Amino acid sequence: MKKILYFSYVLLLCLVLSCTKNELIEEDPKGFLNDQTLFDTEAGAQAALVGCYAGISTYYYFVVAYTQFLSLGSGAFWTDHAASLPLAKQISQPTDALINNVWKEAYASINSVNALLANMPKSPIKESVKNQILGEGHFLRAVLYFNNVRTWGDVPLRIEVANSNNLNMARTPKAQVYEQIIADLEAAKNLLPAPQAQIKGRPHKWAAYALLAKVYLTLAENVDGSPYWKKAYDEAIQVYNSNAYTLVRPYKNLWDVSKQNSSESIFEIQYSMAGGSSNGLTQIHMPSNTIYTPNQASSPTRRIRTHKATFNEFRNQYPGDPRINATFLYGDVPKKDGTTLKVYPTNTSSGEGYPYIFKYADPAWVASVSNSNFIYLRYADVLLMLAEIENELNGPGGAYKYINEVLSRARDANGNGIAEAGEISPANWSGMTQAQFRDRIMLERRIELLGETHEFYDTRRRGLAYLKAYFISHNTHPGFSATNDFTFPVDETSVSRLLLMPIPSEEINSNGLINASNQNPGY
Amino acid sequence: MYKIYTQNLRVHNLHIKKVLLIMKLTTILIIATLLQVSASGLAQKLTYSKKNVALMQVFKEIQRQTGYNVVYSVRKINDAKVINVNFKDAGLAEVLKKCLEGQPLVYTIEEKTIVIRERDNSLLDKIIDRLNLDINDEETGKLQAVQVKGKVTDDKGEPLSGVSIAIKGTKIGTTSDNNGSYAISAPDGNAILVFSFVGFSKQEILIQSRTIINVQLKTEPSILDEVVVGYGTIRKSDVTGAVTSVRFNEKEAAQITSVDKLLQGRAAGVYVNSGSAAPGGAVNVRIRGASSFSGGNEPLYVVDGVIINTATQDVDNSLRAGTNPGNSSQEAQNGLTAINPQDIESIEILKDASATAIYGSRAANGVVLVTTKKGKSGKAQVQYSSSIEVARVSKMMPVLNGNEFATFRNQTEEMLGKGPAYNLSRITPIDWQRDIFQNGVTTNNRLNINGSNEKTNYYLAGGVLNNNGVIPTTGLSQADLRFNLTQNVSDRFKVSSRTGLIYRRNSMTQSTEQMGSASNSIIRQMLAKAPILDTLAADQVDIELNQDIEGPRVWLKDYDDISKEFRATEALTIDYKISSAFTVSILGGFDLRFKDRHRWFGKNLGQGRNTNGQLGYSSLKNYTYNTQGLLKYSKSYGKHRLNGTAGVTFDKSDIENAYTVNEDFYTEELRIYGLGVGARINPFTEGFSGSSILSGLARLIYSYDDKYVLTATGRADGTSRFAPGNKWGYFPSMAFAWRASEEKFIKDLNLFSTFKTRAGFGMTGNQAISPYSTLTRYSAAFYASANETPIVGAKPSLIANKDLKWESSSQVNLGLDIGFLNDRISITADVYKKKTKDLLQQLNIPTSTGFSSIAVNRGSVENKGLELALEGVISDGSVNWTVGGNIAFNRNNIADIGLPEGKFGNLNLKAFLGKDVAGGNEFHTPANIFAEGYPMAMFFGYQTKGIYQQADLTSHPLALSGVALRPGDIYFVDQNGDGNITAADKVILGNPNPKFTYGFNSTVSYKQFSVNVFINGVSGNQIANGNKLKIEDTSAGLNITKDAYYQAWTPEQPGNPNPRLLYKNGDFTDRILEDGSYLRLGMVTLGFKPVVKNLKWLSGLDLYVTGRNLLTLTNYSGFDPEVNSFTNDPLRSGVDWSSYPNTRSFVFGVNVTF
Repeated sequence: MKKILYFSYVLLLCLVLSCTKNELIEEDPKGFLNDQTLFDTEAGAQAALVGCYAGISTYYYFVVAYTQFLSLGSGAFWTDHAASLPLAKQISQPTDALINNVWKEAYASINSVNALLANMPKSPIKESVKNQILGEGHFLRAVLYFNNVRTWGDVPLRIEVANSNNLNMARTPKAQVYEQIIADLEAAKNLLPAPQAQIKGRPHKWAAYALLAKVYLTLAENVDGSPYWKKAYDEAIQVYNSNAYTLVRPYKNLWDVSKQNSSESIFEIQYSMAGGSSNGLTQIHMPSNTIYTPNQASSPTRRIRTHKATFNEFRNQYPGDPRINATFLYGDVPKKDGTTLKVYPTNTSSGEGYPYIFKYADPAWVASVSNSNFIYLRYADVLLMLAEIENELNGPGGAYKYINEVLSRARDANGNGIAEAGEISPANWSGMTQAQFRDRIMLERRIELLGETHEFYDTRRRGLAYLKAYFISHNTHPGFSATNDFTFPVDETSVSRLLLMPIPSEEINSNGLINASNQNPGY
Repeated sequence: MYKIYTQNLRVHNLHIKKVLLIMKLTTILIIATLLQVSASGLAQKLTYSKKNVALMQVFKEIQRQTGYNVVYSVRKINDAKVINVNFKDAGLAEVLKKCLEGQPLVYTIEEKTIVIRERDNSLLDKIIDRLNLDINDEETGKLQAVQVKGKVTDDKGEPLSGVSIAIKGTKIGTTSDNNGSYAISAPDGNAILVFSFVGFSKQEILIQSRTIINVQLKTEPSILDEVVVGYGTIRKSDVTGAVTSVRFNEKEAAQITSVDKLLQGRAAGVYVNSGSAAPGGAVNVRIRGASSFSGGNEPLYVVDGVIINTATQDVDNSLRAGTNPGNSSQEAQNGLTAINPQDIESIEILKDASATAIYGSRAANGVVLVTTKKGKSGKAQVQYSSSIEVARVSKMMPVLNGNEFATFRNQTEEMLGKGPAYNLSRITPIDWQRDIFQNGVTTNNRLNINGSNEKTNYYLAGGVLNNNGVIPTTGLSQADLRFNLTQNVSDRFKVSSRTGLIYRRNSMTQSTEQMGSASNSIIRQMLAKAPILDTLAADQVDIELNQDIEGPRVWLKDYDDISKEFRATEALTIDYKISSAFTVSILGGFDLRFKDRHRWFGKNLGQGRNTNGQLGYSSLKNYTYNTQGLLKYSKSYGKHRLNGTAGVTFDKSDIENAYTVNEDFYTEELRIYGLGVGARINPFTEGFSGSSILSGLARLIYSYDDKYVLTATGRADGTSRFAPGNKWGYFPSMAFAWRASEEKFIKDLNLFSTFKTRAGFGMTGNQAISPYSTLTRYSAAFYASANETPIVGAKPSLIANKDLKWESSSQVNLGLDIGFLNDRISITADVYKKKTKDLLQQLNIPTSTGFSSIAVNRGSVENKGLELALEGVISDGSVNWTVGGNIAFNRNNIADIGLPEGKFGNLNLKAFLGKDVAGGNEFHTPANIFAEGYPMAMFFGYQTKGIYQQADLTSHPLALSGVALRPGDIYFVDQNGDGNITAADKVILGNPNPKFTYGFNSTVSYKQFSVNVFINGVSGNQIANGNKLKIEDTSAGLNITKDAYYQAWTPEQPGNPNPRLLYKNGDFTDRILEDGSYLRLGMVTLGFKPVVKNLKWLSGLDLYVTGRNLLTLTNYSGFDPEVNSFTNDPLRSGVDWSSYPNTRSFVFGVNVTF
């Protein structure tokens, strides 16, 4: 009898063990969200979208690393930041930390978007919100891949969420990556809300048209009669005709932190000192203790400054252009303590011999935080594109109206829209040949958009000869100092290598389907 | 049906009358004095209460009280177990039923005779019976010829009750009563009486013609009979695995603040080193080598049956948020706060898998079982202990003094073509080390009250500790309380509770840090800061003091790192004895831990200056619950003894980690209390981590004739941490021991008192993996709205691997225990081989996935080793000498790493590199490499060969990263011969793992005096002394060691060993690699126990003085060779990176017993 009791006890234990085991040891993920539940609500889905924006707004993407990497890599900027010197001197290696970090961060955001796009279809939220989220998601993925393909050429095209089974992936041919970008933007055109219906600071449907125009323009490369010029025109002209955007007057208001997300802004990355993510745009561009930088303890890093050649190219072209003072911090800069910070051209010594970019000045910035936004794409760019496209398709005749709209705004120093005496530079364009127009529009892009990370792509998309000429003009400009300034390589091998950035070493070392022989030429 | 052995039957009242009379008288005496037996005459109601009484005794009593005769077989009765009886006015039937419960016996009453018969046996019993029959029938068939009685006392003459007295070679036996008296019938005068009792030496006496034999038993102090093995205790003789009992005395326990330090040098194969000598600093414990890459190399700690959290558990580093996130690391603190070492009764270390497998998936790194104290028997005892300790830094670094420094700086400035840096006549020199280091005073006061009686056993202790570090802002204060209670509710039902409450406040400074610059650590500042107080004229006093002028003092003024912790642990156990063989034990326990930590950087510190004051707050809430139900079985069948345990346990843990950072303080007044007044508060981030383990476990110990012992254990663990399919793991083990000393041929040698060989094999696991690693996790990510407000989003933060599973270890252990001279000298030797496979590691993955790494199970590591321990007790009555020593050799090897071969420096290896040591300009490189075919964490860097000389310029032209070497530079070895030193010239340089570790402990006592000496050491390991990169850098304008200056290479002194002045190199070379071997006189204690007469209230007084760390023999040039700056990070092993210095101290203490 007793034994039976004992056995029953043991049996009972076993029963407890077997019956309850699954409930007791199930994982209960508190404190973080997972893809099982996040997309069940509108707020959750919006948060996943915000996560994608958060990804591209981090230190290693738009706010610091991407800006630093692209600007310094372009050849238009100078730095004394030790880790960025190889990039700025055009001798970067696959092991450079910035290259590795930007690559990784771009793909982290791509993965976020992929997860968003994969999970949204089953989400039960209402259609209009779903479309807005999907539209922005497709738009963001296009932005990321468009940056990647222009920077590295063939890149792994990942459109599925990363998991332990799809870790390795080969480089996808550029054309296929562009197909995906175009498909994403076509989707975004249909899904994004109309102007005014969008969340403030987010893109509406015309942003997709504008970006697609830029994609086609890039695809047209330097090829005369490329069908992409027409495709680019078709997109850009619709933006033009939509009247969805207008130029901000005066030009300097574009960089006023109290007037952000203007009528000119097409896609703008939002930063806030109150936000959880840091924003080093001011820190990496500005010096300390000037009257524009009231906080003493602002710890400037001043990693991006313009070359003397870059500054001179601008000022020689348009002396008296109001954009000069809006773009650069240069010459005698008044300091808080009443003294003067002497910068180029009043100072040509090594440290301060390079003008600062003034576009990201936020008087309230502290260390690595500021309110200064980053404008990825603005309407003036669309007008410049239209001018370039029209010139390529039909010659300069029809192109002047687009470029002159940009120039007329540039001249309007007080922004009242009236052409007053003294508001004469830059003058309207006229009487050029197609080739002259082509050259000038590239210079005009560098002037109008300086410091907005377009330089790398604009100096590369016209091909090897164009980039080589650009480097030569830098090495030979009047006032070039061989001791302080960087001497860029101008031999064909080096320059052709510099058309693309190297695939990062971390990727090559860990990706079973990309090895050193798949590296971009010259690295 | 019943077999009745009529020839063996014996009627009790046929005994010799005289004996009977004596026995009756004795019994009556017992009744009158102790046993609370009512004199109810010959009624059929009985009142009788006694513990551990032989059945025969009970029958006598029954006969006495009822007048019934009891008839039984002597053999059967002697086989029966001793029992506890407690009857009050109980019926005869009830009494008999209770007495025979669980025994192989039944009774019948025929008229006034009670006949006890053997129960119908089970098949097993029958087999056992058959095996035994022949051996015993001979003796039991005879009637006794001799009656012997006497008294058993201990060596002080106090009566000993419960002593087992047996006739050798027979089953006849009895036990002594409460007065120590016994009576036994022996077959004849040639019989030998065997007296045995727990804790005493066995004695054998030939009866001859005596009828009264009084015996004094000698204690055997060092031999404990029962060993805690996890989920129960077993007889020491039944131990089959590698189990070490740690021996320490109360004085030693009173001098440390965490149990892990108590393990140092005291158990073979247990390697303990301090991560930081700071009060409350982390300690690193490795049992039989490290076997995991992932951080889980700590043993499992079990206190009174409750698994407590790991020693490495701590709050998050709050400064991972805020401005400049990640630039400040957090000093590691000791997480073993659950138990005050002074409350520890015993510590057992389970080392091999056959012993640890009962803890299954958490046991791969060994198990430390801690048992807290119980009340001593007898009346209440009050003990008070008090000690005061004064500590000084045991070594200071020889850096330049003020004048030397000024001269050095002026010289280097001149070399750079600049004017002098200092005017020697206007400087005020200061020795920062003497300025900052103070005498650290520690006081420790503790009171305990304990006692026990038959029903209740209690131990109540409380104390206050105040430990001041040698750096003024560091210290530890603690108040704690322990209450242990055991209550026997009835003979079957026992409740015990073990409660610990502790409050601890720990104040730290910044020593080991993330960045390399001098402004990040007070230790670094003390050494590197110019040893000059003020270069201004004396009348210029109105200067703003800050880090630049004040040097390390500003750390005392502007830095706080205060953590406060409250912890409560409880283990409540209910034992219910179902029968004499079966016991059910139910345990419910918890470990609740609440800790917060504030770190304040004032504006004069680099971190505070950048942020205008920075305050980090982090908190930890830990709720761990344990429940277990065990069924225990223990029974002897003749020579067979079975001991079984089976049960189910369920452990659940909920951990909440929160942190925030605030910056930009308009006032510095509130310091750590000012979280609300900063202008830039970061989001309050809270992480939850829950996990649970459900387990089934079983252990069976079978021993035959005390010669052969077989142990089999098994555990099944189900964890929440892994995905379905991998949740359950199974951990079996098997071990066998042969006690050869019980064999006749060994006994005949008359040499060994113990000779036991052990062999075991088992599997264990390690689940050192964060919860939720198999889920796609989203974490908060912040973006801004167009109107400058933050918006919270979610983005994927972890790439899931659903295939994750346990790391599993298999281990073989062979052991030998030898004892001589009644085990006064004992030797234990163990050899083992442990293989850990499916190592959890972070595998680098293509960053185009958006992630850098994924957790995977890959590779295997082997540890094999030899452990020897010796203990001796030598005593001649007045002088008592105990000595213990141990030594352990461990060899570690990465058998398989699961990675493809790649180029690492000049070597083709299957390997991965450890973590960058620091984030600054120096040592911003991994020090360790994990390579297949090598021990774990080998040092990896550049080999050098002295200083590059003028002549080498032409004979061996060499460049470092393309820059030609100059005479006076460090001469790197160009491994690949390409004339340029690059990362491709790195090689494996050394090994941070010791070749062997050892400890030695000796106590000599004579009369009231005692001397205890404790020595420990390690040998054969190397240390990467990263501090040298800083204090030998003559280019930074900071202070340096005397050698770096005076022994610098110059064209005139080309033989000097250090590079030329102004030479700069921050690479990891063999120049900073040093031998870490040391031998330390860890503790010398002189004790004195004055004889106190005429004070009735005082029953004991013990005074002592201890010198700690009096002498360290080492070649290591840093503060102390016992260092591992990144205690909890196996990917940064064996590195000294500005660790808190060790101390030498003297303790004066007193223990008083009332």
